[in-house]
Amino acid sequence: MAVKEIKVKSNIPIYSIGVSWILYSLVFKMYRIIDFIIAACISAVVYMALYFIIPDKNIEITEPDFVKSGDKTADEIVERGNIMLGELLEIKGSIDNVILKNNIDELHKTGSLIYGYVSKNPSSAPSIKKFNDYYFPETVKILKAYDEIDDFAGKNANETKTKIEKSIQSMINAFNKQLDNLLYDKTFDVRTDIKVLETLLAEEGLSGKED
Amino acid sequence: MEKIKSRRTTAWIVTIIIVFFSSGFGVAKTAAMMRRDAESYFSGNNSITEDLDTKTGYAHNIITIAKKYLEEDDVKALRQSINQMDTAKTPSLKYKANLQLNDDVSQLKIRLESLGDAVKDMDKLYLDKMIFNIQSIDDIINKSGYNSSARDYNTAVNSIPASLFKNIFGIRNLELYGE
Repeated sequence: MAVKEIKVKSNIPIYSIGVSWILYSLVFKMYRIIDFIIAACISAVVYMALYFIIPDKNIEITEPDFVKSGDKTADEIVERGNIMLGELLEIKGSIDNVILKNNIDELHKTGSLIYGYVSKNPSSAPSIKKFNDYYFPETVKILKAYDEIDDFAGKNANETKTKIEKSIQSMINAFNKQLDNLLYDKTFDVRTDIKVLETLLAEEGLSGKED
Repeated sequence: MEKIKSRRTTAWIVTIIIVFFSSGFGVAKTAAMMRRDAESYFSGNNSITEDLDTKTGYAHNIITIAKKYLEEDDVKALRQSINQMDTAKTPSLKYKANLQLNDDVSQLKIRLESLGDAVKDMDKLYLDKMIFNIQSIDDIINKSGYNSSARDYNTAVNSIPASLFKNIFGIRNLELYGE
């Protein structure tokens, strides 16, 4: 996982322009072009001063680091998945609901495992095609919608947010199921190997079990 | 990241709206101050309205003298002018009423002068004094600062940038007195 740090400028300097204009209009006469120029100069000075005084806010974004496999299809899928995983983290960073943040973390963790596995096992890429083309983008789309309406408190906004919060568990299940399906071939091979090994050991009398 | 960008966009939009409305408020506030200053020449203390009220007082005195020698019908026009002056509230109506009053006073003076010696010398003197006072008041009104203040106000609210907010904030021009 790569941790990316983004610097975000404060919006206070922008609002200070408005505040400067309000104060100017309250205190001074304002009807000539010169009055507007003075107000603009004062607000520009205030903006610049606050722009440099107020420190940038640092936001950390962790992005999964996948190595290219050389398989074009697999690399394309992993690259797209990587972008969507990044989007999940951005959404997580900007919403306020703690439970939903934890659930997004879980989605991100499972998603990272899926794409990490595909990057190491490119032959498994076709089995996550539907997940990559539909389920994951839809999940991101729904969570983006949540992010957009997060600040609103109307009836529709609240109902929609509640629905999304409830449906997130289904998304987590789907992600886990996808990971499980992805690992099926691998686990099947391992189980078969274990069974063969146990059979051979038993035939040679090395299993430690007595007949 | 999108949310951060959208919050920044919102901040700029809100700021632009604040700047627009505070500019409009500033213009409206300044215009109201200038308007009050100009109107004080028209309707405050020592204003045109007060001078015209004094003038109507002199016109009443002229009627009183005229009634000694003339019929009610002869002074009727001046009475109507006085009423018109009292009911007129705006500068343009006051100006028109004043012109009419001057006209009627002149007519009445001519009428009284036509009576010759029938009018007592003391009344003649008093009449001359009243007419002199009326003319003095017109001189005072002509030197009033109302028109120049009203013109300054009108120029201010009709020039850019104030004119951009004029209609939105209901800023109106001021009538001039007699121009």
